Amino acid sequence: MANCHGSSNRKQHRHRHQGAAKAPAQVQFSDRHRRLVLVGNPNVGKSVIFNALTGAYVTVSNYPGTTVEVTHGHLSVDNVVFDVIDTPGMYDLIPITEEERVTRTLLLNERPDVVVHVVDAKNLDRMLPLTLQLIEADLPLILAVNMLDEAKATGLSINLGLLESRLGIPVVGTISTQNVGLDELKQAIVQYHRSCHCAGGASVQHSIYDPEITAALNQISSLLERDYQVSKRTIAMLLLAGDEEITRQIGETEANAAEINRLVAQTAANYGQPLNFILAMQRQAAVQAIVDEAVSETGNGHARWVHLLNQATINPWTGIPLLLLVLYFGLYKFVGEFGAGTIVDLIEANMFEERINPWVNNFVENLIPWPLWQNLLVHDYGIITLGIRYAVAIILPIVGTFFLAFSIIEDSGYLPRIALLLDRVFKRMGLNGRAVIPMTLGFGCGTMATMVTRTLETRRERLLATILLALAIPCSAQLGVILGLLSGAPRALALWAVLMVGVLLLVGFLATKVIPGEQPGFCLEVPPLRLPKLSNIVSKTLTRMQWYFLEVLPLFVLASVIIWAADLIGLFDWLINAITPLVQALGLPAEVAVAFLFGFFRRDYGAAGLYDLQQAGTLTTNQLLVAAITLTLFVPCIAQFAMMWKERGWKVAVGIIAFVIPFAFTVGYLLNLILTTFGVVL
Amino acid sequence: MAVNALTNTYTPSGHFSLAELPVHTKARICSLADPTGKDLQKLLVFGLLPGRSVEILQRYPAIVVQVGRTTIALDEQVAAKVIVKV
Repeated sequence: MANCHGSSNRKQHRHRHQGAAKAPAQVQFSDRHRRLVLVGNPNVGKSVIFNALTGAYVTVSNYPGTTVEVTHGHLSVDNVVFDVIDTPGMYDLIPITEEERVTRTLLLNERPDVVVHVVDAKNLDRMLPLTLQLIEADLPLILAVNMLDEAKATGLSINLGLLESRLGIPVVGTISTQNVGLDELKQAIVQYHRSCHCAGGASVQHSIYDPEITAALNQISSLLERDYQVSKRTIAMLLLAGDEEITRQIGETEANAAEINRLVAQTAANYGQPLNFILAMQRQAAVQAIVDEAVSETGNGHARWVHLLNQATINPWTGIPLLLLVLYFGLYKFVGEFGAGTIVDLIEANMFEERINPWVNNFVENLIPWPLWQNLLVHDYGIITLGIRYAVAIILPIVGTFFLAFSIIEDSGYLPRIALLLDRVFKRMGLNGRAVIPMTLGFGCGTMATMVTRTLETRRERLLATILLALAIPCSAQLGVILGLLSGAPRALALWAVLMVGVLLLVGFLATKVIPGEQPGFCLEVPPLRLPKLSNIVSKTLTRMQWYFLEVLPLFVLASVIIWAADLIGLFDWLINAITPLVQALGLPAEVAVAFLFGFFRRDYGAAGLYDLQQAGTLTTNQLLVAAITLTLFVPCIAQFAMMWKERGWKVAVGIIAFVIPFAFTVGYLLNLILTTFGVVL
Repeated sequence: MAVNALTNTYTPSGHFSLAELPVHTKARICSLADPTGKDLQKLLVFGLLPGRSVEILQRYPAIVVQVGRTTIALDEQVAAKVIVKV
């Protein structure tokens, strides 16, 4: 191990690992596997590489203490098993969003055995500064230069061997979408561990910064007394760059904090500009020197039509119509008509109503002689005939088709284009184009979308997005059922859409006036359009469906049990009686109260209840519209409420509910009043 | 010297902010105005650094620029912080 990674941290780490291997009984399961962490910018094909390495069995979980998603899987090469972690995209060791913060925490604290940095071969000059930071941190690093095909198509030729010798770490070229280079990557991963790759990286990291910065880094490093999972040099660099979190930590834990702060201030005073800017410029210069040597341009050869298509998607004159087409076919035709119509009919009507429900009713009636207990499982509100039927037959096909459409849009690089087209609209609501990801996801599942508001930069934006998601963005299940409900009445459907957009803009606009705070600037990379890889789409969709199903099914079962119990003690009737006058004030029949009450357990649950009423022909089109509007605006489902509580705290969650319920009923009331007063019949 | 209305900073003559340039202009980045806070961090990670050449591809609904082989979309607030020489 003499000339291996020089850092004491790494040695300690290996030592600890060997120790663990000798006493397996004392370590937890996950400690027995080696840890492989994938990092990289968004849009570099990281998730495709992750899927190729790990295969089908992946799990999505929240990083401890946060709600940022981290995907886990296993890789087995030559009988060595790795726990593979796919991290949220990061651009720099200094985080901008909560997700980047999680990735950094993971790198800094999780003691990975191998880190694979995935980069886009076309943009090495922009990607390698992070590589330098990771080398500086003494992480066990492999560089995967991905999308070699795209680089070649744009006329770039990359000398990987030269890159390897300049950086002093293993470099593997890959085209993840075509499975090129992945076996080499696996070999590099397993060999890295066995042979302890010798870090020539040491030489590159001492030539990144100018002498003054280097001296400051050395001085600060020597003043740091505690042990860190990454190099002290990295901690010193983050301190110089003014990273708030690290500066606070050091202030609390290091004995020499005062002296360190003095050194940071002194170094900063010697440069006219902020040090994070100086550091970034010097890293960039170091990267440029490497790139100039390793990358040569052999022409600029993107096909003309690819260029035109790229332009057409961002030009407002062609981009907006294209966006409407994508929404029409992706959301209305595919999710609304195919998912919520065709597939739901098939499963719901053909399977459940005709075969499963009668059989199960019969079976349970024969098995259990007491009607009370029969009702828990079957009949109108039973766990099987209501809870499981709704979850499997109505909701799953709708969210399934939505997640499929969303994955295709995501993987084709289209989302950032929607972001730039809608940036100005989002600005009116105190958000910016970046909010397109949680907001679009909100049309799939509000709970998931509320979680994803973590990708927004400021507390204010996260709060605004949470409010709008709770109020005006219908989730796919709701949307599917409402589209189904109103599809026979196009004018009502159009009015519903116009009203929802109006409410969204109005409330967004008002909220920005009420909630103070700065508006962060919008700046986003627009990746080239790509043909998505089928296996990646399927795997993403299945992972999301699995997440949704595991989250939704227990709630449906719970809802059935609560309804059963509430029915038993008369609470249910009491509540229905209590909200019946409200419902009647909206000009709706009393039966709708049941659907509204269900709506609290899941918004879609309520909408599905309306669907039953419409099938029975008890509602006029006017009533259907009023009910659909009120229900869309009505409280988010119980899961979304729980997520709001978790993400924003109970005060905010309760506050939002206290606003949303009266607001929904007021809008429904006014709409009914206007329709009745003017004698509008839809 | 001209006052940049958006950043309230003085720009040396012959220099413009990225927010002021018409479509299809090519320019070289000279400096980043008001280089503090998160907007700066964004410019850094997307490679909008002094010395780089940029081309304005589009101005509306968002400003779209080409830097090397990367396409970046940004709003006027961020673009105003990038000082360029045509």
